[in-house]
Amino acid sequence: MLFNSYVFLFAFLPVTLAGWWLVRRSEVRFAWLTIASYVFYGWWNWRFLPLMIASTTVDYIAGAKIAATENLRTRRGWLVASLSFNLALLAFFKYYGLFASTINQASSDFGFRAAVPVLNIILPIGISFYTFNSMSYTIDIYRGLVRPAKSLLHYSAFVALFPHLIAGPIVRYSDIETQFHALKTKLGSQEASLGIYFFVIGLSKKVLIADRLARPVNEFFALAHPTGLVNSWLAVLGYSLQLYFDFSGYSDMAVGLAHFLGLQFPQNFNSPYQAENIADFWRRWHISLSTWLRDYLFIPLGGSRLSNARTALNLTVTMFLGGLWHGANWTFVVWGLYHGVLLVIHAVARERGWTLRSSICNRSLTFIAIMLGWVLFRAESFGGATRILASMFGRTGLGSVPDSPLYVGWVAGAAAIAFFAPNTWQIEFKPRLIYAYSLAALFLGSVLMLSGASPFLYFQF
Amino acid sequence: MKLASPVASEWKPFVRVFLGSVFCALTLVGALNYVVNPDGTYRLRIVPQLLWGARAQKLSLLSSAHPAPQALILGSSRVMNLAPADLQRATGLVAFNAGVDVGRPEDFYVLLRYAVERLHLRPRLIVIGVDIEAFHNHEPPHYYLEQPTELTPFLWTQPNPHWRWGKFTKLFTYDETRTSLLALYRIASGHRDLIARTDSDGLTHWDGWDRQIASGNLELGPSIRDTISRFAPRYDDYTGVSAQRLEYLRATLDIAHQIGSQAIIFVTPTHPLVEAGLQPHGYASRKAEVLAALQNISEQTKTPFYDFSSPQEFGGEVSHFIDGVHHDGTFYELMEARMFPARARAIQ
Repeated sequence: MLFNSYVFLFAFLPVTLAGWWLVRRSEVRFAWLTIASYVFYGWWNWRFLPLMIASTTVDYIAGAKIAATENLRTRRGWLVASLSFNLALLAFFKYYGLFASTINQASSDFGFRAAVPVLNIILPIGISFYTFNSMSYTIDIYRGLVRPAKSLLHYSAFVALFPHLIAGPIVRYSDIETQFHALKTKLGSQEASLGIYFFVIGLSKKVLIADRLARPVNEFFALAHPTGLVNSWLAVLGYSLQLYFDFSGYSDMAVGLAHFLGLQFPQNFNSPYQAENIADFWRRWHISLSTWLRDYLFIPLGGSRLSNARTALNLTVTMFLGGLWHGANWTFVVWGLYHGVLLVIHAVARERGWTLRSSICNRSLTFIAIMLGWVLFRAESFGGATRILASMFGRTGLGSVPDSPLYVGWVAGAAAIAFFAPNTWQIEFKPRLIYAYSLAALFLGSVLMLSGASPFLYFQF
Repeated sequence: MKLASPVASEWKPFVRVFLGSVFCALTLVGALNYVVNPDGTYRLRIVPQLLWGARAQKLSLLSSAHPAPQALILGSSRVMNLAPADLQRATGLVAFNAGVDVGRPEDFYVLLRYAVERLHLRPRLIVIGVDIEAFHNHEPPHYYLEQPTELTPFLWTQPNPHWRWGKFTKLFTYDETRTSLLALYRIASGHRDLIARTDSDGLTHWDGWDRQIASGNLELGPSIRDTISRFAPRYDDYTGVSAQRLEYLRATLDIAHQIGSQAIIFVTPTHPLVEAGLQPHGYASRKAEVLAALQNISEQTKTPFYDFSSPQEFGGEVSHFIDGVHHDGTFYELMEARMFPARARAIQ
């Protein structure tokens, strides 16, 4: 089910919230929330529900076992079991196809027959998000950072919690543990106002901005031979903005929905296109993933505590895996490596004092580097990415002026918001009626445009 | 997050005003669209209809057709401008175009049953133009089928809850609101003509396109891009050929056989650029599956089958497309030349 759908807005959300706030007993409330979240997930394909339930059960048991003993070997054994199970799920459902096609291609190149059977595996939606949620749970228990969940029901409600289930933010159990133990019994008007604010802003970012950019961007990336430097840069700029408004819109909606449930989620975007360098960008873009990779991968690898060479290697490995997390395609891997290299270059430049003083120059250079990376991220293949990059650098000539002034207007407007406006978390939100009317108008405009709305881009990951 | 006021009581009016405004605005928009009802989706008929539901119009015209049609054309909007007069010239049979927008096998089936059982027609020739998308396995029958209600009893399953929801949510769409406002404007400014004109033999004239062609202002590029953008998500969800829709087509051919009618199936053409644009969305696989299924049905039911999915199959020039999937009458002349030269005498 999509947040930006009539069935979610007019049926699922009102019924779920009514049940959540009308019921008094916390166990019944958790059961209600879990069932509602399963309906939300199963709406897409109920056949993958058992997979999520299995993952939840395994991690709950592993968490309980780790917490129940002081024996380091036993604790480590249960942690390895939990991580292995989650990584095996990801490996099979997400990466088997890439593995099989790569092996078979390599076999073919060396004159051998296809060695690995190709299976038509459907990627369970949101699997990357809920397995990362789950892994952080067992790792944090192992590290002694959180206590195990009170019951399987509590833990199931956390994993399946519909606001973050499909496309994040990656919420850790430590973020939600205290809130689950002290559930609010009444939705206060301030909490409801915050929910309205975040949800409506997120919905309008998605429906009124990202989806308006989607069509011309998709048309451009579908072209076999992109033509013209101007159109290529405009299309890649459009995609950069579409991706930001789409994903940050989803995150805002998730934060708003959490407020409707009396919960608080962490911030996932902090004006990433206003970043002054690539490290700054990763502190602002998909923050919950960046911090996850930092805490569970980069730091355990040694972080930046060791030699410069080792730090560079750790950054590259972390970004390589971060790229792979995004999708089973070598273009994502190269995109991750590209960012790893950028981070290393930035670290070296910072250490040697090779940084520019002009904030505008820093921001512009950073954004251009990010844009070039998005070409790899969006293209279906290396061939497609190469053609677009070649076109961006004048290989196909300057090209004509774009034939859609409306699109240029949307891009300019979206760019102005992304580059200069405060983000949802920075705006000082006041209980003024003009705000209420404005948000109502945005909501109405978004609802009217829902029929042309598309799924969120990050659903595919 | 900065909150300007931590005082809970100050936020109550905010929530009330927001919810009240949203409720009032949605009610207003929904009521406007329900009352204006620009394409006849709802029962209330106060304002003259701006867009005719093709099914209601075709049933009305078919029931009053004189002389009774001896040939029926079934298909989607892509065959709605196939001129019955041209078919009559090719076959010698009085023809009627019963093509309807979003026409799929269930539409062919219910329309033919209605013609045979309610109107007691016995067409000698049934020409069915099918689209590759007509066999979508995840798109339910369109609620257009409920306009008019006479057709729905012939359906094998009644997807009413889905239709009701679709009709309800349609009240809150930008397209419906824009059409409602356009309908009110046209009434206020004295325009009573319908957007698409249909002759008594079922032939639809696409006046907007005709005007653009006549003035040389038809721009194919944006239309093709628009078609790709609209069809791409449909193809993403189109994972295989619908078994039920194949059965509907087979049942349509069975009825034709029972009444001694000769059926002919052809696949409607798609612009090569649209085909190319839809390749990443599984177009080639779906097309191959549909063509194989149709070939199979053709052999089993001894129904002639023509693959006109690409213009080169019948010698057509892409310049005759008027968007990514619709085209002018020239294509039909070429297709009819392929379908009927030897067959016309046999049918007679």
